[in-house]
Amino acid sequence: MNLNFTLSEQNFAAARQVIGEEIDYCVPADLSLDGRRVEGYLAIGSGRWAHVRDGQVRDHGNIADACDYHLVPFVGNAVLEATENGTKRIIVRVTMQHASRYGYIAQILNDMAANRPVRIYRDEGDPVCAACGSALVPGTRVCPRCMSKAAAFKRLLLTSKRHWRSLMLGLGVLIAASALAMAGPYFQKLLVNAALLPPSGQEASVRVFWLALLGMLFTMAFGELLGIARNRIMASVSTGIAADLRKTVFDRIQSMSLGFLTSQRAGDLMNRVTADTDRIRHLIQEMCTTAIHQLLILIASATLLFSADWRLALIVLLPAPFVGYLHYYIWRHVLNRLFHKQWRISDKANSFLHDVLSGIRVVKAFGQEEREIRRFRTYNGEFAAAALKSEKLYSILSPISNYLIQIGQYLVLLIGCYMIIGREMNVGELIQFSAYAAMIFGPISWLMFMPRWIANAVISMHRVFSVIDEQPEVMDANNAVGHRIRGLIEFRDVFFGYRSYEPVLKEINLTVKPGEMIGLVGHSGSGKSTTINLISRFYDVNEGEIRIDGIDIRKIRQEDLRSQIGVVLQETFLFSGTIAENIQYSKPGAKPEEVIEAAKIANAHDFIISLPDGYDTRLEENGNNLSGGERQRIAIARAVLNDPRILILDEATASLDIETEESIQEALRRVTKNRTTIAIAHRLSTLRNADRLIVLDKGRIAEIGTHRELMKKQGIYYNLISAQRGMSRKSDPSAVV
Amino acid sequence: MRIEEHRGMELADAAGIRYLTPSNSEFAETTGHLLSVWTKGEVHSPVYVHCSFPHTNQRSFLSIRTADNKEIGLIRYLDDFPQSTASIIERQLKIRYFTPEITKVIAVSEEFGYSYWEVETTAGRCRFTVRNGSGSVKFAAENRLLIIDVDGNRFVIPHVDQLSDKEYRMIETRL
Repeated sequence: MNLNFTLSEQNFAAARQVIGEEIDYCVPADLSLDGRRVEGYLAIGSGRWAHVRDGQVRDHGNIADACDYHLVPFVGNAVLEATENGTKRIIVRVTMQHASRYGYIAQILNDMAANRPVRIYRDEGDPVCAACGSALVPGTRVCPRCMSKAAAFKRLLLTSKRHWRSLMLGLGVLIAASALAMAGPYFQKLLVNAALLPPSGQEASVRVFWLALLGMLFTMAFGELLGIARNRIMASVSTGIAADLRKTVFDRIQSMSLGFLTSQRAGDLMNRVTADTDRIRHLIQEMCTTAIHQLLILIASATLLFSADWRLALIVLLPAPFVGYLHYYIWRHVLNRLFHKQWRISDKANSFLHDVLSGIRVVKAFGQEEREIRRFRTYNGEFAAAALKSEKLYSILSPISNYLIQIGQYLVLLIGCYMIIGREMNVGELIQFSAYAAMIFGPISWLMFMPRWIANAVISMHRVFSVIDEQPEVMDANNAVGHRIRGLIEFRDVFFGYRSYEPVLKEINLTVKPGEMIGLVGHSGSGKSTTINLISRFYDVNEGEIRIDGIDIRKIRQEDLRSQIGVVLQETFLFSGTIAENIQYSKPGAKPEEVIEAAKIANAHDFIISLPDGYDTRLEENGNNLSGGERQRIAIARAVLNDPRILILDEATASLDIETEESIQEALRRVTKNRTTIAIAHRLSTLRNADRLIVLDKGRIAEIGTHRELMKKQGIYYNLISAQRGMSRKSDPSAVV
Repeated sequence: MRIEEHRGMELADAAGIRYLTPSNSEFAETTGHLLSVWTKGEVHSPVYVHCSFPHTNQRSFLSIRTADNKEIGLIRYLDDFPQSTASIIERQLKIRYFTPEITKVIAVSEEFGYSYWEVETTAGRCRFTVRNGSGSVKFAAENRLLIIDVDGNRFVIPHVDQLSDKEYRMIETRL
């Protein structure tokens, strides 16, 4: 991130008066307090800061005079605040474009104010494109320079390399089919001139008549056959390429870090795997069949027209682009907009329907049926009106635009007939000519639409390639090793933040002995879940290291590491499939007895065996046909099946009632025996079996000790316990820790 | 048995909202451009003004909150306060909510899943990039179009129906 912008001469001169020659950091402060976008800067150097704008110092101060510099994100803007003489003040205001810089700047100012070494270095660059080095579109991973249509096509061709033989074959067939299509009008001419209406002085020839008829039949039949072959070859090529792309995208998504995946919406990623690759398939198919075919027809028919009669050809061709454009214009600006509006209204009505039908219980519970009926009536009416309007207009405009396309034909007939009367042309030639002329309009109007669908397909290509190009943030080191975990976990001076300017964990030092059970305690946002995410290496630490059995986890192969860590989360996710398959998920190919053992340990065996279909019970979407407790027990069975040496329980029993929790606790006691276990629980009674409790507060370890020790200490843990006891007494006098 | 006996507290009593009025509170702007409030014999500084209905009603139901997000009280109607106080609070509102109004759409182009906007706003001319299809352009209220760019900056077209035909055509397909 660039934290050292260059000041204009005026601003530099102003800043120099306050902070001297050396400016260490300089970032834009591009919003005034009265809400105008301005070209201001915050310059920092020699223990002072200055806010400069238009060659004037607007504000300045000694860094050490204030403390607690921090970024306060507002709505659509942010301010840098600090505490000076015990009161807070705004130092500068910025748009969101530069807000993240101020996260770093605040940290720098705090370090400078406290006379600590500054841990951020200003030369971290802004995100740039890995390929060409230019700046990315802010907030995206898109490089406008590298995203050219030609480059996208080139990559697509490279991806299609495996299929080039079939592609070439398809193209060959396509060219043959086009050539054959051009022969049709020639036979028509032959038929008319030689047999039906021979020019004066010539006899009608039956032989030529049959030959021409045969020729026409042959071009038609063989043309159709070639068409079938072309479509089949191209369909197989395009689906093959799309399948390759889908596979590559899916493989890539699987290798992405959790950080990237959580920043994307599942629906969006799904679209890239399915809809976008399908659009590319469609593009290849269209490009290799229709587009090339149309182009060939255009070139060939134009050539033939000119060779037949250049004057007539000119008359046909001159209005063609104009007519084609008019056709395109009517579609693009009138009909397309009309349909767009209709889709929008239909979309609104559809999402209303979806809403009401999925929330029908709420509608009924509040007795709002009448209101919903009224709302639907409105949407329905709007949709009907829009549909009627566009259909009405379409019914008029569509014939007009088609008529315009045919107008060239009309001109040919007009002039052709005139030429026949003047004996400059015969009927056969006119028929051949008008057939070629008819051929030329199709490709022209089709080509007008081409840029639009190519643009859409290119967007899809970029969306697909942007996933393929995404570099996983968490990568295996070159010298990563496989390691059989014993269970010693050490955190050494660990600092971590999802954004490096906003540390979530600070200075974490912790050793967990093999087989020990640790309870992580703290308020929401104190860093508990982040700690366990780091153990699974879903993210890499910013500073310090995490070791397992003395080996830095960055040197253990990720797959190896995670397969030995069992995780049970609050929100259990079960895949569609049988109960047995779900338990086997952590160890594919596990034997039935292992599955039953795991279920037994997890206290799940008894309920599974009572189900009519036992372990073969097919789970509905996310196991909705089971209760929360049952799902959780299956998740525990899944976690223990692989005999993990480290077990992570993230609020594993939080959403269960007390009785179910008891039974699961009992299962967990068996599971956690002899395994290093890290458990998070808000309900502190869940952690009563923990060997030690770690209390996290604002990202730091605040207290460590057993339940007894921490109660004695009367610190954060004591307060949490007291608060929960108070709550339980209020709700249920018997339920105390 | 009378029905009233079954009824619990009135909703308002249960909610326990504390309304700040000119008689029970006093607002002032601090030297550091922030807001402080004196109420119930206590001074809270700084406090921030949160709008309950930022798109439909910016002068009513303003929540006065501390930096720890604790509500000190709610202003029912800003206009109940004397002009001088109301303008201090308004200034703070404008600092918290920065959503320039688009007064003119100059150009909107679309490329590779992002649209690039050039507009005149009440905060000056702006160029920004919007990610397509991620709910970045949406109606925040009837006829009021909210646009959030890739950085998180917000822009609003307060009256979509007052756009010129040309401007409307430019934004139409982004809706």
